[in-house]
Amino acid sequence: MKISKAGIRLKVALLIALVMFLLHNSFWLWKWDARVPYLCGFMPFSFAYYIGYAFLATLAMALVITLSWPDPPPSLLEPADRDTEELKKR
Amino acid sequence: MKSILGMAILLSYVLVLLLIGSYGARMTGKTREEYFMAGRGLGSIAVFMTLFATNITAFTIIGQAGFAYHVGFGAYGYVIGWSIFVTPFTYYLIGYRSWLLGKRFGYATQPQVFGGILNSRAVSLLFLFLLLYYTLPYLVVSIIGGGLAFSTISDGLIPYWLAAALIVGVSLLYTVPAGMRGTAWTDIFQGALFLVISVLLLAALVKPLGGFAAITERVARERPDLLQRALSPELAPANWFSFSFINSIAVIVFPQIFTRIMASRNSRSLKQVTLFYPAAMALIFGISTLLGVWGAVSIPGLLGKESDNIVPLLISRHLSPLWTVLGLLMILAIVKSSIDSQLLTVAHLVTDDLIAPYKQIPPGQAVLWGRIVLVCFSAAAFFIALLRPAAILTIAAFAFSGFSIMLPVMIGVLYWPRANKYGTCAALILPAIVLHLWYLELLPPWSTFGLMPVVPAFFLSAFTLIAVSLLTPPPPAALQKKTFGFFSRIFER
Repeated sequence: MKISKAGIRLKVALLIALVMFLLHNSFWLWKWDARVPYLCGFMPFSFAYYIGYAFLATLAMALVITLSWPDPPPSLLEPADRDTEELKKR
Repeated sequence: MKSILGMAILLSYVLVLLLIGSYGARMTGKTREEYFMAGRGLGSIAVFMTLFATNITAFTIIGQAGFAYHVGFGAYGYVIGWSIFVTPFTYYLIGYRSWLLGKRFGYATQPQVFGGILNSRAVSLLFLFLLLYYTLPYLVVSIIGGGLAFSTISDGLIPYWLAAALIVGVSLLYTVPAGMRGTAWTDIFQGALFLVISVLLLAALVKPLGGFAAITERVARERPDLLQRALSPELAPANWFSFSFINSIAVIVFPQIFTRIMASRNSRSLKQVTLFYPAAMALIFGISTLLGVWGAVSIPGLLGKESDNIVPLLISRHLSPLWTVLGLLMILAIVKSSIDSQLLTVAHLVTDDLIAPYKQIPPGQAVLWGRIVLVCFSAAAFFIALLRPAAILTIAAFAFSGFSIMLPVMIGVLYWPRANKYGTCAALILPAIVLHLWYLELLPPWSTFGLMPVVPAFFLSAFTLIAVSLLTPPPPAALQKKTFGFFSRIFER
């Protein structure tokens, strides 16, 4: 079965989501809550982890946008399938 | 003197909202598209701030801080962790494709998008019914929560009924004349206001509590359980995993969020929203988590829901009365920015998807109908919030789960050409019934495999869509081509 380029890009985006899901449900890291020194002197690992996670989420979204979020050509967004006048009235 | 200053601050806030609303009303045309969708012209900042402010509710400051008071720093990851990524990801996964269809075919709401893809009135009506069924109790609970929070932080000076009336009344003052523009533009103001106040509040509380490092040292000394997730029974891995399916993935299904995405001006605006979102959510929930944990050592001994008062208690214990006014302002801004969006969206759904298909509304009267519906639903929601009927509170308790289990259907219909109206209807109805049976304890607890009911119901929804669609005829080729041919011209370039 042939998989299109768009299909591959979508699968990579879903793979990124899966990695982020695993990083959120990273129970094996919980033991570090009591071992890792506080970030900036006051943030324990359980809290600091999600500050890092937020940065990673931004990077992950930037990657998803680059890979799999094409901008549509304006001509394709012209109203279709319904009477333009009807749309204007709405 | 201070009370006069406080009153002046609150009146100035209302005045700014009215000015924005009045300007928005002048800019809003006379069509439904203009009134409910701001002419699909919201730019990056407006879309981001309206999505962010709509998403943030009284729970963010009151409930999250109260939860962190009991379970510690782990409350941060539990409640918002997965959402930091998956909420913007669903804006891409579902929001962008829906937005494309909206621009091309004129769809504005979920009933229109998913009923339109499958050319099915039944799918449209099912979406409409379920969205209203879960949104209305959620709206009423938002008013109740906001009213209680507002009343509590004013130390009872403003009674609950008046607080609820103020929240609904002030929201209507700018939403009725200006529609989507009114809510989006005031969300920019209100979102910035509550972000700034919450940062200042955190900074102001640090000093009387001894400084950042000293507070954490005190937590480690007096409540070490608040530092380690493994020591909190509420954060058990099964709960942690299950909660990933409730709070985070439901956001894109909320109709007030979905319609705001559909109102974006262009693809660039949506992309920027997904990049701003993680930091904004991490910041606001981080602040409320810190306040809750700090409260646990500063004002220990609160039991159960008493901890929901921890932010007002910290303010009254450690800061000047002026901070109480700023706290009120923050709560008012947070609560109203989500309630006004919910009210407008309910009016939008009813006008566009329930009345318009059955009654010919003359173009000149479309906005008038929308405004009448908006005022009627607001009045009804306010009176229900005063009565607080048990049935409404029961439904609201699992409204998030109800929204979540609609997600597989939305993904399936947008990505799988073989999904048909039969599979979609079955996948909307069956999991919703089973979810009710679980929450009403009519099914044995073992049947959820130790997880929260939303998890098996979510997978049941996906399975039902696939199984029933494969067992019934596929959608006509022309119908598939209309949507997926359009997508391939964009994504296959």
